[in-house]
Order: sequence, then structure tokens, then C-alpha cells
Amino acid sequence: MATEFTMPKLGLTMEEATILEWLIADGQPVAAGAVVMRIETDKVETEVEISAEGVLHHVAREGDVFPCGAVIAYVLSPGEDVPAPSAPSRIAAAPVVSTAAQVSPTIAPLHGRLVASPNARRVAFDRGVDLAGVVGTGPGGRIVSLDVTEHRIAVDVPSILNRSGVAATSDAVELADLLGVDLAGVVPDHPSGPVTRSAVAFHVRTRLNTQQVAAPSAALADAPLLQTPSRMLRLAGMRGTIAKRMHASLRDMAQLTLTMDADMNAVVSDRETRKVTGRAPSFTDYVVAASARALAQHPIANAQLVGDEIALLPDIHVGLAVALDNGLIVPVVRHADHLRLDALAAETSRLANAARGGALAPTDLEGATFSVSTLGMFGVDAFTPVVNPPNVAILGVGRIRDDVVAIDGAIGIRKRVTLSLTWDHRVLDGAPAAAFCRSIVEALENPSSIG
Amino acid sequence: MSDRKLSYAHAFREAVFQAMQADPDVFVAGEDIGAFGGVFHTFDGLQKEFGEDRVVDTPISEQAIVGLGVGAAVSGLRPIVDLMFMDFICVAMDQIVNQAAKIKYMFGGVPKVPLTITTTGGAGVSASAQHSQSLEAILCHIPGLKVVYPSNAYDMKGLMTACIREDNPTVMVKHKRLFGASTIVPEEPYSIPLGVAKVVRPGTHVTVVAYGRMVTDALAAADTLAAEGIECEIIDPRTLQPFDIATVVESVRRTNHSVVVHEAVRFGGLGAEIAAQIQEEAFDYLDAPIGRIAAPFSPVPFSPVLEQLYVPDAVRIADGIRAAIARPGKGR
Repeated sequence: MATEFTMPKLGLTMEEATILEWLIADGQPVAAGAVVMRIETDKVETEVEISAEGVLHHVAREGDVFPCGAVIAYVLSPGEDVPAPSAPSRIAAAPVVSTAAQVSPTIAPLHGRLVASPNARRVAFDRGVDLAGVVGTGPGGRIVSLDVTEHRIAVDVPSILNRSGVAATSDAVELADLLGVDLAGVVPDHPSGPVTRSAVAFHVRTRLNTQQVAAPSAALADAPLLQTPSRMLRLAGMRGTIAKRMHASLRDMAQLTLTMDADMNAVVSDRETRKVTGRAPSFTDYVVAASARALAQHPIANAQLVGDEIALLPDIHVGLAVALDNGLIVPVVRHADHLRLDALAAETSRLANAARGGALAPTDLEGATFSVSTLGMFGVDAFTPVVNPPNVAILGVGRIRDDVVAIDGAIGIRKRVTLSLTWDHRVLDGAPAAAFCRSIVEALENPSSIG
Repeated sequence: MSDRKLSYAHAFREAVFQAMQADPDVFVAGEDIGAFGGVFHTFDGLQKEFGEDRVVDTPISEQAIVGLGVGAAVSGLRPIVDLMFMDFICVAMDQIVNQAAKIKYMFGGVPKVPLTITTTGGAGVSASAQHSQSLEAILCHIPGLKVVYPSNAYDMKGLMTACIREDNPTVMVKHKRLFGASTIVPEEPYSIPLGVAKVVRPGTHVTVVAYGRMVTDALAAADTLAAEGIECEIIDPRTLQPFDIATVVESVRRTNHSVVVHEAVRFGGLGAEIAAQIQEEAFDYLDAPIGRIAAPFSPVPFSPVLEQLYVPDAVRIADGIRAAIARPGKGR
């Protein structure tokens, strides 16, 4: 009996992954527990083990993207034939559009519009199928109900996969039904939470507000190439995720940035003291620790907008932006407000090493409630970091520099850093944002308070 | 039940004959229906049987013929008046639309108008633009009229009997190409209720609504398509006004596809109304736009070659059905 090997779901928010490399070749024997492939999710590259034993038969090709749960290989007993030749349901970049182009090149499909028949939408809704993953076979690439029912046969564990794709409250379902909104297109308030009624309403309002903006931006993406490119880089994997999330962040939030200088003399001397006794925390560690303490004092900055409500979050997890060759990753220091500085430093150094070595676990990347991003090493003082949704604020850290300043009427030279706080004005106003940033500055100026 | 076969023309005649036998208030009036028996033999021998008082040859005046019927109906008789060609309803439109259909409403619901207007529609005999039209949509647009359009001899007898017994004005449309078509028709009088459609062929993939002559062609198309694995459910509404949308909608909810076929021109034809009602009642069950197969927007041509191109046939119906359920992206 052939055993199916499916794309694993490694984290709550993981929905798909790219197969980077098969580590065991097609037709080769595998033992239970063997590492058979490397995959890339939107967050991390990781190796995947197999639990069955037998001969590995690849169904999926390297470089293709598959939803969690899709069958990508079989483990066969020796001499056994490959089961039914159902092709794996690879996620095409834009299934509807590409199909339409092949079927009927004369009909130009609407960009971004999911073309599905009313009956296909009804059947997909009843069965919890996410239409975004269904390839349409009707005229012009229209998804018809048979595409939905056949899709369920093709995808191995569709119920779990697809329900997680459109998990929604009954109020949300009702409203979406009423407005004819496809739930698959609605961004949940929380990445792992269900789509709520207010998320549907927000989705519709956003669509209404951005309709006129969307047209030129679609036109931009269609603009003819200025030159023959030397290389094309696919907006997929990590790059694609960053593109989507950062654009959504700027589009959906009311973001603005303030800057504030902090005197770092106390931090510098604290570091010197610690260097004598052992490993000293980095300047960034001090900022993370100071931010975590300040977040505890200003709960409004450790929050999340859910529909028309602001959820204050009890736990403080600070994300730390780490630049990689091909992008950016934000490992998370969990419960950062409870960590002493040396413990926090050990954790950030573990995370940074793991990030650069591609060895982060998916759980290292989830649940940040606030982020710190540093560009000081490039000589930057101030910049406008972009909030990492669904957070409400992010702190940018500049270089440590020698400033000539007036102190009590005399001229002195101080180590100083500029902090750049970007926040979502929907959630907090300028005064509380400034007060929050002020608390970070005060903690940095008094490092004994952050232990 | 006997297996006696009768033609469409004689099934009509038998319905009239039996009604006249059963009810002395029933009489017939029209052009050339008495001594001549009607140009399509639909009134053969009736005058010999019932006499000139009950089978009346009229002058060539459609307005007067229908007016006679309206007056006789409100006076307590049960008239059947015949307009030789459907095209000629236009001459009698004031009597049909403003009198027959309205009298009951104008006089507080008191008068009964048990009038049956019979006429012959459709193309296919090279009778040219003034003797070949399908004008049923115009009649169906008038509140106060009931319109029937049988597709076979059995339905013809039952529907004609129902029309004669109906206390409101009815228009019985016969198709001139169906007169010779025979089916089993029981000898005893029977009536088919008005406003009830019939599923003439059950199927699972597409609901085809067709009436009159188009039922025959739709059935032929369904045979062709069955060989390709496409199972058509064919519904003959039989009565066009009131229209039995419930039967159609129930079917479309199962098949998720629908095609409406008629011989009348497409623009503003009954197919537009049927398609609109389907999408109102079954929008969430549709996998494709509702197809309409109908004549082009042109008078019926006289040339037999052009007329053949003009009237939908089994080949065009099959093509239309294939298009409505097409999945060009399948099997790539």
C-alpha cells in the first residue's frame, strides 16, 4: 500500500511552501526519519523528514509551490506501482489568469478578479474550499462547480487545508454572503485567527477606497519593460511575503514616524563593565530590553487592531529584524520584558545565528507584538521603519555617535542614538506614542532599570 | 388506454369536436373553417356535424372575428375564434389586448370571458414574412391572456380542451410544421392543466427549455449529445402564460446550466424572460450564463434556403448546449 507524503504544515500561519531540493532521489529507498527534502516557506528554509519506509516516488518537482497537505510524493513497497496519476495541485502564481490566457487569449481577464460561477462559489463555500487554489476550466478560465468538486478529489486533505484558508465566524459568512464577498480574499485580523465580520467590512471598505488607486497600480505592474532585463527575480517565497506584507502594511494602516535622541553614555559604560565579567550585550539588546520594559508601561503600543476594537496583548514578544542576503527575517524574543539583559542577549545571539544559518524553527518567527529594526551599522541616524502587521508600532535604531551637546550651559560630548518610532495612528495618537518612546529613552539612559 | 395514434391537426379537431358535443354553448368562427374545414384541415367536417350556426365562416376581418368572440363570451357562450395565421393577430390587437384581456378587470371581475382564440404560428413552409411569425412574446406580455403552445398531438388535445373549459381568454398557438406529427392520443376527452410544464426528457447536465416545434429539435439534439455523454433535461412549458418557472428552476438547481430555445427572434423573445427568471431564482446554482438559441433579428425569409438557416434546428441547438456547458480548460 502506497503511503502519501504531503507538504507538512510547520507553523500556524504556514499555508504553502516551495520545494527547494529533493535530498533523496526519485526511486531511491528511504528509511523512516530520513531527511528527504528542503523546503522554503514564507518565513524559513527547513529540512523535512519522512515517517514512512520504502521507495520514494516524487510527484512534485523542485521549485514548485504546494499548499500544506498536498501530496508531493509516495512511499511505495518494493515493486509496487505508483497509485492513480493525479497530478499534485501545484499553486500557480495566478491560476485563473494564466488559464484564461491559454484557453481564450482574446478574452482579457480582469486583473486580480477571481472569475468563478455563482454555483462554483456556492459549492466552494459549502465545502470549505478556497477558490484561490482552484484552476478554472470554464470559458475564459471561469471556475465552475465541477472544478471545485474535482479539486477536492485532487487535494489530499482539503477539509483541513481549505477550512484553515477561509476560517470565518458565522457573522462574517453572513455578511460576505450578503455583499458577495469571497472570504478567501479577506485578510483575517490575526494571521491565525478566523475572518470576522469586521474584517469583511474592512475588506469591502478598503476595496471601495482603493478601487481608483488599484487601477493605476495594476497598470504599473503591466508597464512594458524599459530595457531587456539582465535577470528576472521572482517575487516569491520570502521576497513575495515581504512585498505583500509591507505593501499591505502601508496601504491599510495610518503610519507615521517620530524621532527622538537617547543619551547612550550610561549604556556604553554599562557595556564596558559587563565586558570585564563576560560577554557584553549588543547595543541592540539594550534597545530591545528598553522597548520591552516600555511596552509593559504602555500597553496601547503592545496591541492589535481587530475590526473596530483594539486588543491589548498581555505578553510582550519583540521581533528583531535581521537582514539576510536575499531578504529580511524577524525572529522573535519571547517574553522579552521578563528576560534579564544577559539572558536576552543570549537569546538574540542564538536567533541571529540561526537566522543566518537558515536553522530557525517556525515557532521562532511567530507572535511578535512589536519589532526593532537597526540600520545604525550603515551610518543611518533616522529612517521610517514600516510596521510589521498586525503590530501597531516598530522602532528603528540608528548609529551610536558622538554629539556635541549643551549640558547645564556647558558644552560636552555625549554618545547618542536616534530612535525612529513608526506607529499606527488608528490605535494611538502622537502624545502617547511620544510618551512610549520617551520611556524607551529613559530606560536606555538608566540601564540598571533593565537589568 | 388505447394506443390509437392521431396527428396534431386531428387532435385539435377532436378536442373541439368533443367540446361541441358536450356543451351546446361552444361554437367556432373563422375564415374558411366551415365548408373548407380550415386551411390546415383543423376544422375538417365540423360544419357538416354541427351546422352553419355553430361553425361559422366569417368575412376576412380579424378585428370583427375576435370582437364577435369577445361579445359572445361575455354573453354566456363559449366561443372558439380562429385567426388563420398568427401574423394576423396584429389586425385584431385592439380586440385581443384592450377588450378580451381587459373586460373582466374593467367591470369589477363580474364578466366571464371564456374565449379561445386559436391561431397558427411559426416558419418552415416558405410562407414568407407575413405568414411565418412567432409572436407569442407579445401575447405573453398582456395581463389577462393565457397562452398555450403545444408541441405534440397528445398535449394539443389536452391543452385545447383546457382552453375551451377555461373561463378567461386563452390563445392556442399551433405550429404549422407540426400538423402532421402523430402521437398516441386517447379517445376520451381529457384536459391538461394550464400553467404546468412537462419534463419531456430527464437529464443531469443541462436544462433545456423549448416549446412548440423546437421541442422536437431539442429532443433530436439531446440524442446527439447523449452519444457525447451530455445528458439534457428537456422541459416543455406547454403553457407560456402563466409560465411554470418552478419546474424549470428545480431542474436548473440540479443541472447548474440552462439553455432556452425558441423559434421567435432572440431580442425580446420569451427566452429573455425565462432566463431572467432563472437567474432571479437560481443565481447561486448557475455555472454559466443562460444560453438563448433563437432566430436572428430579421423577418422570416421567403427563400427556403435562407429560411432553413433562419429557424433553429437540432444542430444549432446542440452547438448552443455544448457552448453553455463548455469547459475549454478541461483536458489540457
